[in-house]
Amino acid sequence: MSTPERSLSDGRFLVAFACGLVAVGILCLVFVLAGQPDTAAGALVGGLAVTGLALVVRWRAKRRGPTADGGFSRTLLGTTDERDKAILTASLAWVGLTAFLANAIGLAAVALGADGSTVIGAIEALLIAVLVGAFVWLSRRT
Amino acid sequence: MRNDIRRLREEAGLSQAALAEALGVSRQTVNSLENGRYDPSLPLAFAVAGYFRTTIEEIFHVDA
Repeated sequence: MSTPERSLSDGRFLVAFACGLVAVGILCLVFVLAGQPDTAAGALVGGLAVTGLALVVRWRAKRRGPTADGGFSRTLLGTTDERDKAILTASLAWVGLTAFLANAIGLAAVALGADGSTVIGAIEALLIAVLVGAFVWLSRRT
Repeated sequence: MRNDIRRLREEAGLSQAALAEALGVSRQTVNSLENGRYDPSLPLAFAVAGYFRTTIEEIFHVDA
């Protein structure tokens, strides 16, 4: 069969979830040791929010089962078929293309005096928006 | 690429979901195939043809 079922097991998800928490902790610790407690607090709140969101999304996707009626849910659940994978690949290609352009524009902005951390944050948000937008758009078109 | 999947599915009395489950793909993939928005991989095309006990050439047709 062309699209064997391959779901992301609970164990693997928990390992990934734990790794995410550890990464957030390490990042927070690095900022504290670097004498930037405010940044550490921001990283902690942001990191925990993202990992918590991942947990909620995983729970919702799992509750709907492997026949979840959405490519995004199936992607998170690890039960994608070939069309889902094609959509994800194309979406990531858009992210890559956007990253080239955004980095060039960001570099120019920093050279003109923009705050570097703000530019990096804006690029990150832009790339996430492009990924979600491209996924939705391609899901409807393909 | 045109195809006769919808006709074959309806003749077999199957829903999109049932065919999708038999082929191991999502219902949206079957819907996209039927509407010509998605061209399947060669393995999936073989799977579709095998399911309906026919050949790829009998199901898929290149647009003129």
